[in-house]
Amino acid sequence: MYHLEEHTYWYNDYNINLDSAGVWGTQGPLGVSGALGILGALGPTGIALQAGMTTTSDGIYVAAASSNKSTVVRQTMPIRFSHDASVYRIYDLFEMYSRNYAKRMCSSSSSSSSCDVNDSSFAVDASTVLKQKDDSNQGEKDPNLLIYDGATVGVDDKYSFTSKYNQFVHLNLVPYGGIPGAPGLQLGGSWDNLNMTLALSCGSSSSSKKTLHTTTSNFVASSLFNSQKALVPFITTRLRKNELCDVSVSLRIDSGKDSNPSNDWTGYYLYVTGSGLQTISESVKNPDPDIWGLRKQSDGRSAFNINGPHQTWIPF
Amino acid sequence: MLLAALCLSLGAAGAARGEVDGVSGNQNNDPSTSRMVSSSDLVFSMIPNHFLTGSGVEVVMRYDFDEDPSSKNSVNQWNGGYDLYLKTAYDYTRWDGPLGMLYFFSLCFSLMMLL
Repeated sequence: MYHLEEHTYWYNDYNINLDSAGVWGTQGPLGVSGALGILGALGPTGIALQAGMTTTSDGIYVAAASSNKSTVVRQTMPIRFSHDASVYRIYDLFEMYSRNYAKRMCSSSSSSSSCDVNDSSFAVDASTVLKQKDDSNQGEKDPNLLIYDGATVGVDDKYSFTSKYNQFVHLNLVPYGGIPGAPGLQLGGSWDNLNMTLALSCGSSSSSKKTLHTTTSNFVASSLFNSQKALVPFITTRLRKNELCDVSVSLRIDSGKDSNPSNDWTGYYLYVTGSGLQTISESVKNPDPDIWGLRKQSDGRSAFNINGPHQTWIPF
Repeated sequence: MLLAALCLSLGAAGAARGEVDGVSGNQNNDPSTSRMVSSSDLVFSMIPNHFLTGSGVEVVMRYDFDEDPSSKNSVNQWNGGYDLYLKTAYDYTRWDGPLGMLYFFSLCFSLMMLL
């Protein structure tokens, strides 16, 4: 909390590390389960439906144009911030995209490719990707699927988005499945080993993206006496305005017992939660207030509220 | 001697460049010059010393798993200053009322009478 001057030796304090600059920022109020995430007011169960928008099968918010029968794609939502409506804040809506549509989105639009630009607040529903053998939408073989002996044992997907603000971005890769027919994980059950890799590459242009970080988690098939020894992959980073990013997701199923895995893991969900917003006022246009960004500390320099452990600092 | 002088000069030059632990490119985790990244593999890893990535452009802050938080000045130590009657220094700054000293002196007189 910025109004409290937390001391730097509170490294082991869980509550303080829920700050976006902390270790557990992805669990905090600005993380995936926070107000700006999938469960918040900007998500599929939030204000979009109350404001008259509908959701397509791909997860796009559309609003009917008042002049004609056509529809308009909506990616942002203006909220009146001051009582007299002199200041508005514009937030990015949080969409739950289908895997096929999210793969077609890009980080920047160009005249050669007519793709939709993706912002930094979205999720990808790939919960059944490991159950399909091909790209059923197109009727063709999906090159991102890894198929062995008639079963899908892996997937490599890449999603692009652009950061419109100086903001924190939390990426979460959540595996789905466990026992066939039962969503979620079941303690004590036995399922295949799952190897997950999440990588983030960003740059100022499409050709200059470089890998910022790669995190890997191995879920080993648990038995009665073993326990999982990995975290669900997540990456928290700070992005600059107009930065173009690629998220790479890789899943591999390895039964370790026989050559024909049973495919208990059915897929994954990818959540990209950004904390940025835009402020519009009649006197001053502040396109990037960065209200959760740097603050002037007691020693005079500007920094994040906490500089905790478990952080890597990569020079620009 | 020459090698020591050389090492000293290189170390001084490294410090002038803003190196920490021999790693360049970052000065005190300044957000204006470097980007913060935190991830699941940095937070939790089965390898004890997994921060040694070998990369020369990253400075990683270390986490002390064996640290005892009760030894630091944390919130759970704020109520540590109590006495036998669970009163703190703040409680002793409160006035008991006009009869407070009367009870104290009457207790003293009764004890003196017993003696």
